[in-house]
Amino acid sequence: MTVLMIGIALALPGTLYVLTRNLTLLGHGWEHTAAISVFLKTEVSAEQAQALARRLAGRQDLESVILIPPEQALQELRAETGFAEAVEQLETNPLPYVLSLRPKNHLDSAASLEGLREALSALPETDLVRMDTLWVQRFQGIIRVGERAALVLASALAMGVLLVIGNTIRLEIENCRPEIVIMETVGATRGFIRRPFLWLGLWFGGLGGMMAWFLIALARWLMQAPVSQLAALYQADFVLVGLGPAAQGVLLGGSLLLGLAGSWISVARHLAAIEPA
Amino acid sequence: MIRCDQVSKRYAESGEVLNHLNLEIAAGEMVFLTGPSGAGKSTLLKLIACLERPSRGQLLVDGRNVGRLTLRQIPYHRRQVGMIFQDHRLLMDRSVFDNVALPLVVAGLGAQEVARRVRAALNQVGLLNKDKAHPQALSGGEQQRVGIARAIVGRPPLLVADEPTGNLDPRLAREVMGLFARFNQVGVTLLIASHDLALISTLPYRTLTLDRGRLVADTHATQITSPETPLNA
Repeated sequence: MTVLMIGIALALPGTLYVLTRNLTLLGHGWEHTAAISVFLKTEVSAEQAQALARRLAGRQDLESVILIPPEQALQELRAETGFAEAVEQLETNPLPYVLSLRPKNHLDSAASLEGLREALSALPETDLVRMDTLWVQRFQGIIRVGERAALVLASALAMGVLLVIGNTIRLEIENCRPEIVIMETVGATRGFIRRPFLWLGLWFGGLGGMMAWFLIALARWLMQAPVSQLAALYQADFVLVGLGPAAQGVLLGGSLLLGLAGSWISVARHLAAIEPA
Repeated sequence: MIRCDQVSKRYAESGEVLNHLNLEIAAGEMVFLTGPSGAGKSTLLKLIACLERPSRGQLLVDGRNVGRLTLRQIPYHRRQVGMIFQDHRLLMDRSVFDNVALPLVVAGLGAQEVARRVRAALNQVGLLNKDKAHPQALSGGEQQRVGIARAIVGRPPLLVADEPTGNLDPRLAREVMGLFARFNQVGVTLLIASHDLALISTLPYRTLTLDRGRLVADTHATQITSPETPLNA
């Protein structure tokens, strides 16, 4: 019962952590598609566009610069959209040169990104700058909120776990009261009497941690099939990740520590109250 | 072995239970402690075993100042004082062997040494064949002897007994006193609280009488002229 309660209490923040971890991975996938598109004015010539692309490639804050000529863009439009017939009707290519830029560390600083956008807009060749990165930034923000929520939840529930273990140990001490009194009378040291209760707390913590691990693994297993189906609808292949070795260590180590701390507090408070008389 | 110097014990509920008590018991003595209920007999025994602390005065047991023992020292002091209770204070869910072994187990002795000493103690009280029984299966006299075995198993130089014959019929009471006399013959100091004056008066031992926390009589063994029947006859 105690083990199950501890398991559930620890599994809640653990599951939230796994959720944010998966969302982060999903976000990483999107980052590579996120880019800045600079539409150049139609009167800009091929030479001018290429010169600009070379100039921008030298900038420190850009990771890559790809020049998309109007012919290529038109072909893509013809191939990928349902406008093939409409495109056939066109006598001249209305599309401008487009520079597809990928900024460096573009998710870290909204201010530097805004500066980059202004610099690009100020170029005489530029007609329009379109950023696809803003919503990814917001997404990252949501993930950070989720991570923080997991941490806050974990702290609150850790207190709960301490109380659950402390209370279980207190009941155990009450059950053993006659035995403790007799042991004290015949000369048992405090340490000798304390030891089995500390072990008990450690066991509760460890088993609770394993229970939490099991519950998280179960949740992941239950979620995998529907997530795969959803991913398939987007032509994607997405495998849910679990806690990872570091978080598993934190979960198990933390639960052992909580077990020991909970029983220690309880033992310190309640054993001192038992005196032979 | 025991020296009380102006020892007082005051409880919040019942007031002064021991009142400037002075007494001295030499090593190797066997002494009865008697007096009416509430005279402070049990309290004095608890002070000696350091189950309670004196409110004032100095109590020396085997040279240790009991009032000044630190929390760490108390368990080691208690191992040097075998305590026997009227209600035996046995663990009913453990075997006789486990009950008697408890003082040795808490002292951290090895299993072989524990088994050897427990058998020796049970042999002394005549319960060697009952080591696997549970206390409920034993008679009152047998339970009391288990309690005595537990008190002597650690070979303490001092035994204190609180009404050890209170629940026993005269024949069993006499048997228990005979056990104590045997321990005394091998050098153990004994202090036995009892209000069984009929029994005590027939025995050739020093008797201290307490009343309202004060020592009112100290009858020495020599003053008893003719014990009806010697205990070890």
